[in-house]
Parts: sequence; structure tokens; C-alpha cells
Amino acid sequence: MKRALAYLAEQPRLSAQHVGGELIRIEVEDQPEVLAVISAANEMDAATAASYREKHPGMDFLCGYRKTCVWPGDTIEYLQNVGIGWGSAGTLTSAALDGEANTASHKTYFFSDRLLRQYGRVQELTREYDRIYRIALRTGAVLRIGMIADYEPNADAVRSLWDEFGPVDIVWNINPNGSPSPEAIDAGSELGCEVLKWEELKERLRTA
Amino acid sequence: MAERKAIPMETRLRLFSGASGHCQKPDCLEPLFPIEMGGDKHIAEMAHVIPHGQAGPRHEDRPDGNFDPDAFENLILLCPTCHTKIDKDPDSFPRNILLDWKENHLANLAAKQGIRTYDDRAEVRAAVAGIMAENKAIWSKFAPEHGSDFEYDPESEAAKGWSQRMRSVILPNHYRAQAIIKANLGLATEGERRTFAEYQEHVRGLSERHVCGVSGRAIRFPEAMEGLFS
Repeated sequence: MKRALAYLAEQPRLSAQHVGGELIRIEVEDQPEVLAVISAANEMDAATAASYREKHPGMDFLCGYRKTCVWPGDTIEYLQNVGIGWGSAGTLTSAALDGEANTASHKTYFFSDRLLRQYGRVQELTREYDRIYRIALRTGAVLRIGMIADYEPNADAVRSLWDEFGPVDIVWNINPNGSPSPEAIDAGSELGCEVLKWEELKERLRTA
Repeated sequence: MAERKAIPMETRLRLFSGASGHCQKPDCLEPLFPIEMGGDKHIAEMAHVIPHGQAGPRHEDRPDGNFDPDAFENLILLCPTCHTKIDKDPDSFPRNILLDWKENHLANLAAKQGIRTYDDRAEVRAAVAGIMAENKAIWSKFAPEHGSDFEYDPESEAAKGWSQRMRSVILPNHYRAQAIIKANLGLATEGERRTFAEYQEHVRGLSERHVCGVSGRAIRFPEAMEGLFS
């Protein structure tokens, strides 16, 4: 909690106070006040999210403060349905500054999620975790896709994703600035998946 | 009228490599592959010191005997502005002056970039500080995961800007800073020499990543570089 408040205190135009327990209040000039829960959970399951909401009915945003925090798909669906934003400390900051705390979603995965949902060849999309999707294409092909946000994912990042979330058909490196190392691509090939950037993934979805 | 032969590819390559991508007029030295044009198109013009014809600029300086106007020795690489200047006013730009420019081109280029030995550490620091400040300013805006314009957007325009600036500004700046530091290593402490070695390795990794397209090899920029020669 202390670290979260210290992080928020560094942001311009924003002030944050500890209300009690895991709840904080954020004030931003010309924007609505935000009540956010700062959670240290490593995996934010739906029951935990629901208990936070029960405890803090006015909550606008649920923040998984740890970098390692994983959000299962049913938690995301639940929070979006009840009008609570979710994501990292960075997501919370941007959302508070933009006055969008109730609708914001994890900024690491926001653009990639939208790209997949709006891609014409995708017929059905299931979000299993914040970074794991199962998509059904119009051709009938079904693919499980895992996202890695690292700048230059290495073999360990690919293997860790596989260990933690199970087999995928495609590892999508969503960081626009970097690209996977040759070892990461080799590791994917050994495991039985491709490690791709967006342009390559688009081509893969076009021909699948 | 006899058709003029094209300048052989070997001569062109030699001329371009000797000019190191800059106009060979010493008070110009403008980049011949301008950043504004993406850095991969050139504006270079291969100028004849002695012309083909009998009436062109400096034709009266033609040496006796066999003379090939298209030989490497009779060509100089210039930007279009300087090419026009030297051909419009041949009296001010005789043969020996042009050949002198070409001979001293690399030394002129190095001097313009501040690559020389200095008398004290403060001067070296001042020469490197401006270069590093430019790189840091670009890094602060575009850098992966830390830049103010960075977003995890696979279609990001800012990411394209980062890649373009890395190749056209950041890497050339690093090469220049390295050359200045190397020329002045005699003024460095033992610790600073180690830091410089790490910095060189950082730049090698960046080149491999952004020029050769091989990821995952670069080490981080050594923080101690901030205090080099201070």
C-alpha cells in the first residue's frame, strides 16, 4: 500500500489518500474522484474481486499492484459488467487522469484485445486470462493465443508462459518496440507454437 | 557526339565510402543521406574536378597525357548546392583546392564532430554531453516501456518513430561519442575505462538489434556513463 501511494504521489495533477484497509481515494483536478482498491494478489480471481466490491460498494477501480498479477477472464468479465475498471497501477493513474476509472482496462493488453476483437476474420473470442485468448476464425480454425509484453522476450519468457497457462498455438509479442530473440522463436518451435509480432500474426490469421 | 560512359560501380562505391555520407566541401560537410528523406535516399552528386568537355569549368587545368575524367582521382562527392557553387565559379575553386578538400575530408569530418584530443577532462565532458543529452531526450519520449509516448499498441506510430530515430540519430550519436571518448582515453580513470568498455558493448548490442535485426543481445546503458569525465 505504501509503495502504491508513493507511486501515485509521483504523478502530476493527482493526489491520493489512504481511506482504510486496501481502499484509497484519488483526486484529480477537473475529474471525478476515484475510489480504488489496491490489491497485492498474484492472481485476481472472481471471488476476490466480488468480495472487494462487497466490502467497498463505491469502488471504481480494482488495481492489481504487483507486476506479476494475473487476471482470469471471468474476473475481467465480472468487473466490466458491474462498471469497475481493472488493471495495473499505471492503468489506474491514466484512468484517473482521463476520468475513465470505471471503464478502463489493463493498459498493457488494451490495444491487443481491441485488435483481436475487431479483426474481421475472428468470429468468436474467449478471453481465458488477461493475456490468453481462444479465438475461432470464420474458416473454422480455432487458435489459442498467449501474449507477452516484454521488449525482447527470450526463451524463458516463452517457456514460462507455457508453464503457467498451458499450451498455446501462438505466442504474440505485443510490445511494439521490440521483437523476440532467436532463442525465444526456437523455444516456441520446440514447444510447438509460433512466436509472432502483429504483422506476422495478421498474416497467420489470414491464412489459417 | 560520342555517348558518355557511366561512371563504373567500383568508382562510385569508393567515392561514396571515402565521403562517409557527407559533402566533401570542408565548410559544408552536410549529410548526403538526409534524415528528412528517411536516411536511405541520397542527394549526392559526383562532380568532375576536370570536365569531359573543352569548355567546362577548370578545363584549362587538364593535365598532359592520357587523362580519364571518370577516374576516382578526378571525382569529388558533393551536395547539389556545393556542386553548383564550384561549377559556377571555377576561378575560386581550382583543381588543387578541390583535391585538397577530398584529401582532408575525413579529418575535416572528425574535427566538425568534435573528434579530437582535448587538454582537460572538462572539455571532453562538454564535447560528449550535448550528444548524450540528445539521445536521452529521444529515449525519454520513445523508449520501450519507459518513454512518455510508449503504449503497448502493436500498431504504434511512436514505435516506428523510435526505430527510425534509433538508426538515424541515436546510433550515429553513439558512434560519435565513442570516437571522442576513445581519442581522449588518456584522460580517463581506470574505472571510467571499464565503464567505456561496457558502453561500447551496449552500443554493439543496439547495432545488432536495430541494424542487423537480432534481438536480445544488448546490455543496459551503464549508469556510470552519466558521470564520465566529471
